[in-house]
Amino acid sequence: MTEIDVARHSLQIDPVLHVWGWEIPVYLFLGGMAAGTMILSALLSMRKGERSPAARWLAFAAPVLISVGMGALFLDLAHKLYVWRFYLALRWTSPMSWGAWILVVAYPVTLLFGLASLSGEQFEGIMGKCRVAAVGRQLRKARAFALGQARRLAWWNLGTGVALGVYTGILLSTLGARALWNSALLGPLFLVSGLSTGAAFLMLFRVTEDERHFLVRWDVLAIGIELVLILLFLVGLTTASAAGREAAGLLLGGRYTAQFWTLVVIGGLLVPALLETLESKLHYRVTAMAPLLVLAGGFALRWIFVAAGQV
Amino acid sequence: MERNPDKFWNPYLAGVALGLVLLASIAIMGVGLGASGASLRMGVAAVGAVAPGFVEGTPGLARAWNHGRPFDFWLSFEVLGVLLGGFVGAYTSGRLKAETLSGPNFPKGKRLLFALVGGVIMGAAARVTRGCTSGQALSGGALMSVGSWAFMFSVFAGGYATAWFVRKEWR
Amino acid sequence: MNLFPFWSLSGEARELGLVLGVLIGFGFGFVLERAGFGRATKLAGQFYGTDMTVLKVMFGAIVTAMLGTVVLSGLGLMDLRAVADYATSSTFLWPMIVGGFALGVGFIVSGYCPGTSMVAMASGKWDGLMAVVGVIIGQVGWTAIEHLPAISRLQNASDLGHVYLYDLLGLPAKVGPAVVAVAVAAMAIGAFLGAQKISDLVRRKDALPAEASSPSTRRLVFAGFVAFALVGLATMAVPTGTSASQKPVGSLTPIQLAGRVLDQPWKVRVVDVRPMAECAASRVPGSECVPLEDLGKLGLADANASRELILVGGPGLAALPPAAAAYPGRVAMLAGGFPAWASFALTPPEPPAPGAGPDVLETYRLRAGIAAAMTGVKAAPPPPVPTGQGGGPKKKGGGGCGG
Repeated sequence: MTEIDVARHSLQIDPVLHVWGWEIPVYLFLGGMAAGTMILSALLSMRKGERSPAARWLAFAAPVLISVGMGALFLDLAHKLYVWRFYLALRWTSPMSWGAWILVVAYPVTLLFGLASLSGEQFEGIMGKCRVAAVGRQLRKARAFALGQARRLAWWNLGTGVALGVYTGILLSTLGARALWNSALLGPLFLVSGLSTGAAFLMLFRVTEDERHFLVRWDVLAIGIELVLILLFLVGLTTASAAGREAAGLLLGGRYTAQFWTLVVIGGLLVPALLETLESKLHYRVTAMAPLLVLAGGFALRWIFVAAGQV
Repeated sequence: MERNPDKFWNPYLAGVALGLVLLASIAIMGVGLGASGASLRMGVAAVGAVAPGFVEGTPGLARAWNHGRPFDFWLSFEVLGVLLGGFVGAYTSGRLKAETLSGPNFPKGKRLLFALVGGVIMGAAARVTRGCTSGQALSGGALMSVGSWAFMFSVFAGGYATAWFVRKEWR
Repeated sequence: MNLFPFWSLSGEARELGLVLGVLIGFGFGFVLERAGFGRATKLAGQFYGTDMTVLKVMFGAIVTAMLGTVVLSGLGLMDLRAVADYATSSTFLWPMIVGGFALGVGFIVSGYCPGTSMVAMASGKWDGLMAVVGVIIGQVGWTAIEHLPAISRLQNASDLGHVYLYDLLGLPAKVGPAVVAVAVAAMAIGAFLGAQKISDLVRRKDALPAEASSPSTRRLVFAGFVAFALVGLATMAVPTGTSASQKPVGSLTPIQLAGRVLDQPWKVRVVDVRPMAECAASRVPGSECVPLEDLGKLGLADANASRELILVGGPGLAALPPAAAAYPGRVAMLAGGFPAWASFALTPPEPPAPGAGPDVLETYRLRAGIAAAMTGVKAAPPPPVPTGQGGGPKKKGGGGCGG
């Protein structure tokens, strides 16, 4: 793909390259959600009390989500056959280089953490399905190693999750030429959004009531911080420069205003936060709509940001 | 906390509340509430995704298709709000439940078929009348349009006239 | 003073208007659900006399909003007719009656109306979902065939334009809406009481307990209606007038004026403001000769506003005279004044060049017909269409009986 290294963004002079299509929002969404699940799985393992079977095997959700996301990203590469070149170097200043290496770390960390999270019965259940003896032996050795390092793996999971979440935002914000993305707040914003979508994703599965309360508390907290960060982001853009004001204008009266405030803020943040608060404080029934709204809102956030940034 | 799903608002108060929402819509936006227009846009979006040529060739559909942006329309956003509001209302009143409502002794499958057929009739009729009970009767009635009042009386007449024929569905 | 509505929300601030739409819709859906309109069994009860909720809520809402708009309009904060023209469709009387009946049939068969089916779907009801899908199919299917001539003719029949209940009464513009609002409120209260009795009777017959009703709440709501209706009547005494600068004035081309005057003369009131001598010599058919200085004597500010007022002046008439601006209904001016009309309708048109396109020929026939009807002078018939193109349809016009 073509990276743009110019700092100016003048429609009259520079050609408008539609660089990124649907693949990038999908990648950012899945990456953020994976980061959220990594962080929350780690936190769940550090809690007192037994984890439910669902919470245990959901530790494997992250590598699956990352793989699907990478698949989408791979489709976007202009020169697909050269993907291996990413892993020959580490360029300090390129977020894509960082990202490639974060993902390299993420796989073993999440897989080992997943092995450590499985209960005895779950692991034996998988072993029962494994036909090849050699693979089975390796898995047992890996699990033994993982169980010994369980605590450390949890912290690595947490740290890598934070790095992954922040990275998805920084990926956009280092492209200073795109005025809408020219904000240091994008990293934290996408991290917090990833945390929220990760919590929502986990809530869709059969976790215990206790774990659900835990996830709901984190989701509401994440949504609250996300709202504040969105506000600061818009304020920051409008006070930065003329280009920043124009870009922020897209969300404050321009083409993307209605979609952003309706789908992301009202539908994806405020309404689910209301529902989840009612659920936990007033003990209303559990509903799958609130997490689904969060997921839809999180995807819409990334879609709108990628589309609006390329106007 | 279990809410009582059979407890509804007092209908007079609900009417006043609905009237205030309608008044707000008229006084702030200059348009009344509505529903059927958004349904058309949803259908056109679906058809247009697979057969854009057909949509653009048919005059009425092309106008709703709006050059590939059928949802760029106030009613579409209003209806999104209706869905969210209806959901939150049902959730907080204890009435949120996946079920099929019908009279006693009426098979569920037939009820769903009747719902579909009745919907098709209403969808077509709403085009002829330039709006449904929300848009034409409520909004037009409040603004005292003659056609809206004639429409409203006709709706009640049609319902009462047909009630006997479908009594098994409800009683 | 017209504070309401905020027209910018449909213009420059359109995106904000869309977001507000979601909030307004949220209130709509929430209230509908709490009223019980998300449940087909409750809605259907209306048509069997067992549950009068639909009647109470619908009429209650209409009366509330109506009184609100009448009071706002009476205080001069909103131009009721302008908003109504924008927000409502024309009255197509027969389509609305027949279509309304059909919609009622669909209502009792499906158990929902289009709006309530959405609330039902959002509440998880499968029958609501099916009704929503049905409405979408019906809407798309009908719209796809709407343009066919047979259907289009039926669907656009009896177009009475934007006509309101207060136009039917023939009262002055200020008084009409308030009086109608009072009458409707009274009718609604009567309907509520009657409905309550019917429901009690039917439910007793079915050995059901009577509908839950709280008489004190009912009395409070009725009192509120009466109070606001009286306020509406009181606002008739408040002096207001639409300031000339805010009134949107339409501009008509001669051909548009010809269409209105010749096809639907009962919908327009044409006033010719030229000096009396000129007007008497030659004027637009059906127009009143009222010289500019006498315009105030017509009392346009209090006139019945159901007809569109069209001013025809000399070439020098640029702005709308204040007396006409006070007219509460729609106002338009003929672009170019009477000379434009004269050159359009009273002068026989130039015969089209041979080989001219069909629309040029059509315009020629139309103008020739009008000119002939106005002046009684036969115009030359259009040149024959060359045989290579296949003859156009034979049409009258260009003779003495056209128009």
